[in-house]
Amino acid sequence: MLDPAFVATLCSKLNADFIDVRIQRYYSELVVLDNGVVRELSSSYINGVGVRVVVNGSVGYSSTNSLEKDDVVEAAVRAYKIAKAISGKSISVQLYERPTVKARAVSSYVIDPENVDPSEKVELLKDMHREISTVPGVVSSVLRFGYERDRRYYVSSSGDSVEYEVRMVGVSAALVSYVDGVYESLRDHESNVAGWEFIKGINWRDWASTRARLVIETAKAPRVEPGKYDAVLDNDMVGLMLHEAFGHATEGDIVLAGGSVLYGRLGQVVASELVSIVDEGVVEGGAYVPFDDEGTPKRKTYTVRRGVLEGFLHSLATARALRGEPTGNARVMNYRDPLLVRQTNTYMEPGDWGVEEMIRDMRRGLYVRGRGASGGEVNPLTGAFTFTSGPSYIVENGEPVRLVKGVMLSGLILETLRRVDAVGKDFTVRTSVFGGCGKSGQTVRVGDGGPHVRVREITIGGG
Amino acid sequence: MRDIVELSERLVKSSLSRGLSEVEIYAVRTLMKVLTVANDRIFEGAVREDYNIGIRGALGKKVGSVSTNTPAEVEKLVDRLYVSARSSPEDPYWSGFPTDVGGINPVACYDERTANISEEELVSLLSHAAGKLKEPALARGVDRAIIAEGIVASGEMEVFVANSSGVNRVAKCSGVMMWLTLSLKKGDAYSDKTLSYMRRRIDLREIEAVSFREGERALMFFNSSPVGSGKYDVILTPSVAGQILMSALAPAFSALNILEGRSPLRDRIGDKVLNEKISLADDPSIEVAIGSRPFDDEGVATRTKNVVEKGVFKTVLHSYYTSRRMGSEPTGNGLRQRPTSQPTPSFTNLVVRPGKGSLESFIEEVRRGLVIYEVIGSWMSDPTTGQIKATVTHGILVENGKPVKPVKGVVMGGNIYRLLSENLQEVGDDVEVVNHVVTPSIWISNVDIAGH
Repeated sequence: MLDPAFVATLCSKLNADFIDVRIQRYYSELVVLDNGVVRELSSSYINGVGVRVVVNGSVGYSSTNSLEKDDVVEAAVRAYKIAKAISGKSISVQLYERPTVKARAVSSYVIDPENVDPSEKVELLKDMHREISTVPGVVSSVLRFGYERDRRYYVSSSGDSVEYEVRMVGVSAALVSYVDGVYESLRDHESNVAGWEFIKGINWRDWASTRARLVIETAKAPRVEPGKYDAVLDNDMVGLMLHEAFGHATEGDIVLAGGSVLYGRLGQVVASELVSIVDEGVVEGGAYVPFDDEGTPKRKTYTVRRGVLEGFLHSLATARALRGEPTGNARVMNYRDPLLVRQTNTYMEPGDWGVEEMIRDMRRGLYVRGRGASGGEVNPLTGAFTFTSGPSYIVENGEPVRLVKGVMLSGLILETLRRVDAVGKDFTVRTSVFGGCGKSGQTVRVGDGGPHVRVREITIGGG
Repeated sequence: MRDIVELSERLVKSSLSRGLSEVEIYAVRTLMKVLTVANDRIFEGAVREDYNIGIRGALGKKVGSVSTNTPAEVEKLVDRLYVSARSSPEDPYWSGFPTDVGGINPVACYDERTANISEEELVSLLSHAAGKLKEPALARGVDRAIIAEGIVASGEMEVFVANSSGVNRVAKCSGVMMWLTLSLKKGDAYSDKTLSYMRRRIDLREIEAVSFREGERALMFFNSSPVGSGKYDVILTPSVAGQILMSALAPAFSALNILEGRSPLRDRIGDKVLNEKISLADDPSIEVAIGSRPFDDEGVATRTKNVVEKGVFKTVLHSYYTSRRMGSEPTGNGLRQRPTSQPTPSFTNLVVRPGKGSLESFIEEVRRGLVIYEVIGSWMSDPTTGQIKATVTHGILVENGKPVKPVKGVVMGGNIYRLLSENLQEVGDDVEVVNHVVTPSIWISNVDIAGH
């Protein structure tokens, strides 16, 4: 096994400033049932070692799919060579010097999904498909079971030695209905950091049947009229909005690059005073990130407290350059990828409004639901963001009265959160084993959520 | 890759002797040199070698798969593959892996210089592109012009496909990718523009020209803001047209989506589904385009075919599996998302045949319209319904041929089939290669825009 002493020796032999090594052993399972036929039943393994070498402030990366020491040394030499080749034209990277970390963590689970026969996983989906087939008008259903076990081991020439292992499991559905000449689609999922006991704890037939009925109702529903609306966003939508509309612009690498509209705004009011936004590594229902991929413990980080921009998310490099402290947000998708500053679990802290009270008080507008939403995107430089919702409701006289579809929300970072005028006292955070957040070609697992929140005058496109 | 090529024969034998009736090996190795840019300097350099080997095995009509990134581990996975196939219910439509017929498409997708670029050459390529991007702004005396962030990568990709029915193919293709965001400051105002470039080979002259053009465009977007909601004529630049077509329209031509009830084009072959000014092709033979390849991910030869001719739906895109199910010939469009996944029919390169006019001539002709240069979120469009969703980050409102104001933060919506039928004004002839799409500018009238 590679240890800090080996990495420290390698560092001094190459005459480098710093070397760190990311070892990964990843296993995943996927079952895909397409209209009742198994389209995929697979097991995948990814093992390897990624090496970062810092030489006179220049950074080089390389990797190997072998865990042998000789191959790791060879990868370090390749990383060293590219770091030398860019020196003089590159930023001089200095890393924040934090105390050495030696730690280990394992996410909790009761029944290891790897000990459950694959045929049981197929049967779970077939049961759901049978239920969906009883709903007239559903013309396509793609159901998935997903599981992953991700073991990461981090060693650095500074003496860090950090190991953690996470298991995630989940089920998703993508349904298409065809009613009176109109197609409609709906995607939804349930995932958790857990074992097979999470799967056993849900009545999947009911779950499938509810989604099947919703995709039929949605096909019959009108498209929302484009324009400005007052809106109550549910927990899922709030999570998505915070992640897209705000979270990305707080990522230290984007701030450092001059690519964020939040650059230079620390201490300024950027949101309504009802808004406090947190990034935290381990949250019930969310992703599990006890340490980042630089071995830094992921601590609870307030980016916004009572409307004021309080801090950014950092790696060791961005913390040093932006005079912050490392927050444990340097992450990679796989061992071979370079570090980026990423969110973990992004959520808004709850307030004191009841959900029904908030909708009643709004009188007219939209109740925007996240189930079935396909995601979002932001341009952190211009501050424009956008995301879709699931089937949602028109609110009239303080009551949700009519289902509408095709809701796409859009806005500008520095405006939207200022328009929050009510924050609920409820709270949930969700994650997914089927996707996550994409940035520079890397997808990492994230969680997001919060309470219900009301936003005045948000732009809705009728997509 | 040599190790997996040598290994494959042994692997086929051991899988068959384990009891599987058929087996297929798909391996892909990529080797790229990558530079990332932050705040106008190189941030990091990386040498990335990815390896992925997928094996699919069938036990009669039961199919399973495994994958690993480590060739040395492959043989250990045969047992796991057997368990996967055994646990899978029968696929009544399964008709095996393709046989070795049809040869390969002799497309030249490999360029030695692009594949084996040195670290120093890559640094110089980046400097050239960055210099040209900034040139127009510096000439106009802005306060600051920097490459805020970006990536430049160049290298090669090797693909190997073999199966127990006799297919055995290797191909090597090269690729270069650039994505650079120019950020400008003038007084209190900011603007930005992103250069996005993906090709099979490095063409320095083209890179300089495209970089300079995007640099000039960056000067147009200072002080942009939303316009009011309403119906607008919309002129899509080739890059935006390409993104929208790939997400809202292209998947509908997949035979799997048609068979499984996820395409509005089901039972529409031979029908007029788009305006007669629209002709679409799948063309895997355009040497510079990133989707070009000699065979698909099942080893079936790729070929050029007309998918829509003058608005009429002519050809469905097939993998081997869907071609057997529909009783037709495979079209060489079986592409994979992951090494373990069953190939699904997808475009290699989607080509929009040129019409008349260009971005410039459309701007001159339109009475009042929105010219769209960049969007975000177009991937959230729904190909099952054809509904477009895209938020404009870089647009220009034009009236009577003159720019009125820069626009951002408005949402474009509508149904792609309606927009490209009764609402279509013109398809231009200013064709550009945009990643997997080759398309000119497109002018559409009466488009829903949600703004302030």
